[in-house]
Amino acid sequence: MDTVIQQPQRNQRPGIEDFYMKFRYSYFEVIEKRLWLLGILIAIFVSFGGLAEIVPLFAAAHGVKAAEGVKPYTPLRLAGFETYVKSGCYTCHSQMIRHLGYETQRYGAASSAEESVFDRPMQWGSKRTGPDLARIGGKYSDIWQLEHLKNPRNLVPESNMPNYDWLIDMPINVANVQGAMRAHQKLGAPYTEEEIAKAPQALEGKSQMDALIAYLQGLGVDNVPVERRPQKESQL
Amino acid sequence: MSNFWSGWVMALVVINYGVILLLFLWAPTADIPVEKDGTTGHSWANGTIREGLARLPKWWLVISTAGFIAAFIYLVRYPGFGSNAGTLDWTSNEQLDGEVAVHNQSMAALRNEIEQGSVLALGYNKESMQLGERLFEDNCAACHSYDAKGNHFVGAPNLTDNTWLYGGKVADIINSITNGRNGTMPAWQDALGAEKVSQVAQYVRSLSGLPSESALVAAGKEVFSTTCAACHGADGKGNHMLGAADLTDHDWLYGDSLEAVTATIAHGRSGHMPAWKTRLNDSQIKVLAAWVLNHGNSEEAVAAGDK
Repeated sequence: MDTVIQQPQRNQRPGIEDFYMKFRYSYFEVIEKRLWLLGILIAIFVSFGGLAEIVPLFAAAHGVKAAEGVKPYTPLRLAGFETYVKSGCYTCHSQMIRHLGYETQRYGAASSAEESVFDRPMQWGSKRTGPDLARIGGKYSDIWQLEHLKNPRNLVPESNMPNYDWLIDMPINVANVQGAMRAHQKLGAPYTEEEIAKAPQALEGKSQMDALIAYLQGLGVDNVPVERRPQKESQL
Repeated sequence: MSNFWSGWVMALVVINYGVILLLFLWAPTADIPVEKDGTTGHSWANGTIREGLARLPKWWLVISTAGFIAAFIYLVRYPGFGSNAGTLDWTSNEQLDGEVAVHNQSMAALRNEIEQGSVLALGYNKESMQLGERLFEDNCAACHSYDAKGNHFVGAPNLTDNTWLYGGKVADIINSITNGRNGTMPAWQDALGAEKVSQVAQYVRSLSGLPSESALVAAGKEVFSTTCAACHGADGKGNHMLGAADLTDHDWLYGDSLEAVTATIAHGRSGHMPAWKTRLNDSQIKVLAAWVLNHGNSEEAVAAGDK
């Protein structure tokens, strides 16, 4: 609209016309002149996306049951899981193989929700500075995992992963692991009281490094969804 | 997805789209009150800044409308509108199967060549060597390193020479890849004591002509013949059946320094090559064997009459 903005007319008495205009436009003015209100209204509208895409998935997550062969972590692997989360491994490694040909070609069968039901918090992620770890279990030897965690550059010269050699000297807090087992039990993981009571034996003399390697070496080994398994045969 | 959540998604989509659509329809004809000076009457900073009026730019409207229409088409065709599956019946699993099928079709000729061809001949096939290199980098390079020359930290052997722990015939290599290998060197510190360990270390190094102290070598030879020869042979040439290393060559799994050799004897080693049959199919393993044997290291295989 090509309107010429004229000089403001100050100190003029408002007539009835001005009053009418002020009234109609005041709706916008209320929002325009109050940033907090503008912010809240924007937040409400933007949240539609999350409400539609995320909230139903929270509800759906309760209906997901463990796939055949997927069992809760052993105490040692659970301790390793805690170390994995605590050390921030997830900031560089995802554990989700997407439904894309070149992903399954490199990493193995695509991930499904059923195989990750005992991961709390879940470790799918989307950030890949390092490779995906969803099916890393058994791909390399225990010694490889140890040497690689101590100093990744000994094995992969161009790696920018930090050294985690200090984990060797870190003892496992047994009470914490038992507490975590109880928490998982409350959330539906089928741990028995006997298993929880026997956890200290399983953790005897183990460092967090042992636990982390045990965790990694089991990733994706038994929990490949049955219906996706033949993929190994078909791809070259 | 339950009916409730399906309805929830639908309601949100309809409200969101409804509001946007209303804004689209209303905005072009909106009657915005204008003050006599042509502004909206909104003023800030005591009238220094006043708010004028302008229509949305055309390009913005065109892009927004296009986005609006594209989103609508998407919701009709793909799953997204509640539990509505969409007119295409698209699923990610089916898309993946389709991608794999296309890939397999493009690789069918090569796959046939791999299945029919002999391992050593595949080494002269450029395409299968490209595939072999890709598979090696994906799976093997982490231990054997990108140049296949091995790694002392994990005891991964050098694959580019003519020394083989478990034999260098085609069948041996395919077996190593398929089923993996577990090499165990026992720890001798307790049984022999530190003195004898250092004597043996000197002797072992002398076998391949490395500098050694002759006084200790003679004593080490004694210990070697009674303790180590069972696996490594009286002449130290190793044993393919057991994966016992040949100690007379210049190939050292864990390094040739006196410290490394001493540590190996004192504390033992346990090398582990994973079994790849759970990850790779027969064609992939065959190509890998061909790629490995294409590094000037097929002496044993050729001598055995392998093709």
